[in-house]
Amino acid sequence: MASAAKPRKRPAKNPRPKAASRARLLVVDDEIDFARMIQTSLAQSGYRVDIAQSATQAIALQRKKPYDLALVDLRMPEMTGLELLQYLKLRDKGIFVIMMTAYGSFSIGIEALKKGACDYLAKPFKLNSMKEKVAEALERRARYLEEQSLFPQRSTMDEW
Amino acid sequence: MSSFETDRQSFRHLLRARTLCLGLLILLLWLGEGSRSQSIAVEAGWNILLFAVVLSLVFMALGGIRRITGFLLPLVMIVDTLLAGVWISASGGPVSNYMPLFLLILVSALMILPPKRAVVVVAWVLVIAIVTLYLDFAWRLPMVFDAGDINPFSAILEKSSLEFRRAAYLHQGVRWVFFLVMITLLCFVLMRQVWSREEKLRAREKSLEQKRHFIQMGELTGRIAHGVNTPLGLISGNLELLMGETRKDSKTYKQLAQIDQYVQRAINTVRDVLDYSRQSLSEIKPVSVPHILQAAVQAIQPKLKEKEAKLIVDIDPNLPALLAYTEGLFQAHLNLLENALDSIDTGGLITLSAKFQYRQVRLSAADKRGEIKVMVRDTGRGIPSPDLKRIFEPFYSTKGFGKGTGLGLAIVKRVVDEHRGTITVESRMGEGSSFTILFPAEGISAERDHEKDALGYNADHLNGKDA
Repeated sequence: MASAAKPRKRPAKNPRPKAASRARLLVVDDEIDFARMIQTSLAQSGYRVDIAQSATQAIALQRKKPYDLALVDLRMPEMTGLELLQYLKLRDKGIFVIMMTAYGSFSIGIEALKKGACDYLAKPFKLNSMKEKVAEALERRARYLEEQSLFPQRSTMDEW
Repeated sequence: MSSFETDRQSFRHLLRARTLCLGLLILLLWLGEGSRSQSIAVEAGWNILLFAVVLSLVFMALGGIRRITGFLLPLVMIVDTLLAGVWISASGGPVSNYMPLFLLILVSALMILPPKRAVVVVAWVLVIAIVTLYLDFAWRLPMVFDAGDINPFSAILEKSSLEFRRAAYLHQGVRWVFFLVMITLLCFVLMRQVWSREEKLRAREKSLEQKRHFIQMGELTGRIAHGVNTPLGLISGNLELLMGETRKDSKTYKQLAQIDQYVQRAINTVRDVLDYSRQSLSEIKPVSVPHILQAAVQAIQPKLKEKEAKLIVDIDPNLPALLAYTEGLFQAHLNLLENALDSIDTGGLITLSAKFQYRQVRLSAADKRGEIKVMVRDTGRGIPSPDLKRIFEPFYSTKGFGKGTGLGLAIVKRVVDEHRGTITVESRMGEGSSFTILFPAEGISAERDHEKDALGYNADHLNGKDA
């Protein structure tokens, strides 16, 4: 049915996508250790993960090659996560973004969703719940792409 | 800005004092009518003196001297005094004497009073004026006076017939008593307003002080939380990685699991403290209650799965928008759900329902204000009745040391209070508990917004100090 990344329907305790459907992920966080940790964790699940320490680095990386999904920290120097989110979406409509916010910014999370993020994670989060969200987001992206190929004129994203 | 506020305050005090003082002046003139001099100049002098004395007395009585500073006091005093003196002296007849003063009172009253009160005072003054006119023209014995008598009372004295005198004294007496009563009442009304306003002001200052305290606390905890949360996130993440690499039956895994457990506890504590202190910082806006509830349901979903519990959601999608703190509302409902989840055993049942209902009629059938009723029921252990009274107190936990911070329900209570709602709890041991929240449908009213404005200003002020 779905051609792109499609993990198992119910993400169990350790969702692991098939090797053939290795999605390209980008992690943006100015806290480099944190970004590395997420990279390790996601790489264990079989994704190809790049990390960027700043918004400019993320933009440069995206120019070189497109990503399926980006995990973006909200609070960063030089450019906020929300701005980066808008920029990434502008360059590539097919990129899905999960925002990582500090705990307690529920309204900022909503704001991010309004601006086109597909989900948000409140720090500190469990790596397992992050993996679940990533898998779910990729699944949604696959559905979105499929819909796009069927009805190219309709944009599902705009409805959000 | 604050100096402007003081000016406006003192101006109001001034006007109020002036109103009182004019009332007293009329009274004194009235009482002294019989012995008035015929010379306009002397009379004007007396009036001015009288006015100045009365004005100062009233100011002192009101404590206005303390508050009113600058050029305003002497200016208004001089203008008023001259005005009153000239008006009173220039007018000849007994009735016209008081009309300009009535007008002054009316204008002052209109300026200082809220519309509703102003109407009352205007009606009041009109009653005084009409009764006075009646007394002066209709009730007075017409045959006593000649058409040319300027001062009827002295005319009576001149005619000096005992019968006429009696009638005239009676007339005078009724006027005095009537006037005394009316003016006393008016003064009382105005003074009561002063008192109640000052009381309100004091209460507001107090609540503002509390808010400021909360803001400072919020900033502090926010900073601490951010500083603590980042390392905690790293620790817990790396622990998870390590645990993934370790065999589950090994000793190392058990030790790591224990560390993880304690790290989670630290994370929870930080989170609860943050929730408890942050409420007053979020902004008020119209929010859709179904959305908030759905978000809370979404957030609890993973834990629900873990415990294999069932959650029945019954939310009326047409609930009116509530003027509320988004985050507070979300947090409160999430806490309630988590609480319910903690109390049930595996496979238990939680019910979340939200609907609109009309408030129980208290005043009249026309009083159709509604409220939003949110209920969270569980089939859990229930809460023992001694605990029931105290569960909303901060740091009161029944979950045992280290498991809960005791802030969860305290946060709920705070949020509900902030939205002027009420929360009640019913519980039966072994059968479960049910929490019922009632939010007034209008949410946080305009007065609250006003407070918020003042708060915003103060918060800026605080920030300015920090910078």
